[in-house]
Amino acid sequence: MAKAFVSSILTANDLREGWSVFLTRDGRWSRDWADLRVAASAEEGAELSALGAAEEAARRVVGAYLVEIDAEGRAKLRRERIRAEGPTHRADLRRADALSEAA
Amino acid sequence: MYRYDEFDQRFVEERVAQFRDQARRRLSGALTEEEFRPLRLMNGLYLQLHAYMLRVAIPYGTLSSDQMRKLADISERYDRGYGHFTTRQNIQYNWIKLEETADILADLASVQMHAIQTSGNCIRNVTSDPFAGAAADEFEDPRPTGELIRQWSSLHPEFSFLPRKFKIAVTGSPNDRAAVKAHDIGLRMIKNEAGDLGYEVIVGGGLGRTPMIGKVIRDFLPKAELLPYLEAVMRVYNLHGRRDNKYKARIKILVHEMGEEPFRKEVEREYARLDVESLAAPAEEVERIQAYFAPPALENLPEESKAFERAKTADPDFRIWAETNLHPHRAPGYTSVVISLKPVGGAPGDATAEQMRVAAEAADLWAFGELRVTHEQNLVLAHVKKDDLYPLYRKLAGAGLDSANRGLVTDIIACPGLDYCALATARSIPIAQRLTERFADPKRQRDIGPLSIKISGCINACGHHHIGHIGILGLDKAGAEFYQLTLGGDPTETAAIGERAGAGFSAEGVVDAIERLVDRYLEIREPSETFLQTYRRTGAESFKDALYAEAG
Ligand code: SF4
Repeated sequence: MAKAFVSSILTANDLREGWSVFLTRDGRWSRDWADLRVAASAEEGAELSALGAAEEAARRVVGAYLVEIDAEGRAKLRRERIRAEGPTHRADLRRADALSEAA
Repeated sequence: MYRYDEFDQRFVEERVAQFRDQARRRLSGALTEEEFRPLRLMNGLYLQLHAYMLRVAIPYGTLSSDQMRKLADISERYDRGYGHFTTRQNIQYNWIKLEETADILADLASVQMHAIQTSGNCIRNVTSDPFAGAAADEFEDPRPTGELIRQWSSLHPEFSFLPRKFKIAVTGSPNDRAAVKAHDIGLRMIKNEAGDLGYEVIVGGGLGRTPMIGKVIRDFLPKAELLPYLEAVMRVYNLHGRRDNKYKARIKILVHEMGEEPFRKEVEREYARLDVESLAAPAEEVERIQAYFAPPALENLPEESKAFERAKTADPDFRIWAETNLHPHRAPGYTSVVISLKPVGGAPGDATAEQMRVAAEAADLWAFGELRVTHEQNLVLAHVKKDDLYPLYRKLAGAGLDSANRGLVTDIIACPGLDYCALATARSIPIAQRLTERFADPKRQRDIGPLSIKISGCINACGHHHIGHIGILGLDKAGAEFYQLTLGGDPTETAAIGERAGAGFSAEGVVDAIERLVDRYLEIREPSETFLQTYRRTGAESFKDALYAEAG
């Protein structure tokens, strides 16, 4: 049986600057995890993935992929939370919007 | 120190120009990421968790104060004001922009540095003893050997596409401070009965998924035969090393699968076929390299320094620092100084731009303008007059570089782990931070004595956990960070791979677990016994008992 789809957002790295970025509702790439476009179904997920591939082809980003989120809209995996919020060992390296301990 | 000749300089500059063009073509769309990736990796540029990461080679860990200042400038100009010194004696920048990378490489080239061969299946940066050329127990400075290998292996066409990456370490002293038995090839300088210097050649060590201690395949290799013999080893590996499975592609697996004796025979057979004379480095070239490493002009000094003794009496913090952070120098009145990059609560191996500059300035003032990076992620000033130690210490203290913990429980090695690394399964740095906080008390640390804790954030073992007296491996268990301990590892001439202690611990539990281990050691040690000695005497059981007593 196919795995049930988990709501996801689209992430990648900015091609020029390298920073991890997230696709917002209005179609911009943002360093902040805020107002992100969410795929809630498998179809929307496929659409978002296709958009990622197109953005890579347009050389705005590199390595686009979907990130599963939980009910609160946070990334499910710690890896992805750290990627979104910054390294956890120094407060000054956290991104401005880092809401919580990544752990 | 080695200085580039015209050929070296031109070559590095050409590489910068090539990369500038490659990056431009990537950004213009002429190259896809698939095409570009191997090119950027050949220049040390990785894509990590947060951004691009640039790994810069520091050959055998030696650099000049000017080079260190350039590293500081780069961290400020192109990164976020700090860099990470690694267990490979390199430096990594974590927040690099692709569009600025060629400029960084040009800046590096201006001080004779580069990021070539810091990635990929080639012979990587040769590592060595951080006290090379200074240590009291040394036969000979191992760095000319390192430089010879660097020149021989740089862009060696036959060895640019090996089955897997390849790491060589050299030590010139019987006390191994370069972990040579944990490298693909380890070279240990030794003297034969006739009093001639040569190398003991050790092959097939390595950490990672399948940790192994290297095997001695040649007891004594005359110095002049080094390159031809290495060539023979590399050829056997290149021919027989596995390319079908990247987890089985390192030379350690080949030596293991072939068997030590057949492997040795194969190398000797290949060696017998080689034209040794034409492959050996010409004597003039060896001398030319040797001359770059001529020792600095040391003064004739008495062993004892009055100024040093006075300062120790006057400033107890200085005395404590001097007890732990100095290393015996071969010349009377001199010492080597370890600048610890392990402050309580800090990220092991991280240094800010300001700290790099202070270290460079200290090197200029008191250490012939030269620094070393250690595989333990600290810095070293190799030749310092004891008379100068106090002002040096004061300068370091002003920049937070005065941690008095070399070799102690808080001198922790940790890889970047999940805070930076795309391959990580768990974080390493925060564990190091909490351990250093737990064991912060200087008196307690000194009472515990020599104890190395090494932490890796995944099975790749960049944090050398297998050869830590206590090793910590961070894993992921159903979404939770989870830490497995190994005990009794040893990176030195008595090398050993640590034994797995049993079930792992949660991120919350691992610091307590290590404290229980340390307390058990304090309970059962005999007078003046180190942790490792106690472990070897009593075996794992008494420690496991302490680890899991409460779990029961
Ligand atoms: S050990 Fe793993 S987590 Fe740590 S730096 Fe190496 S690859 Fe990354």
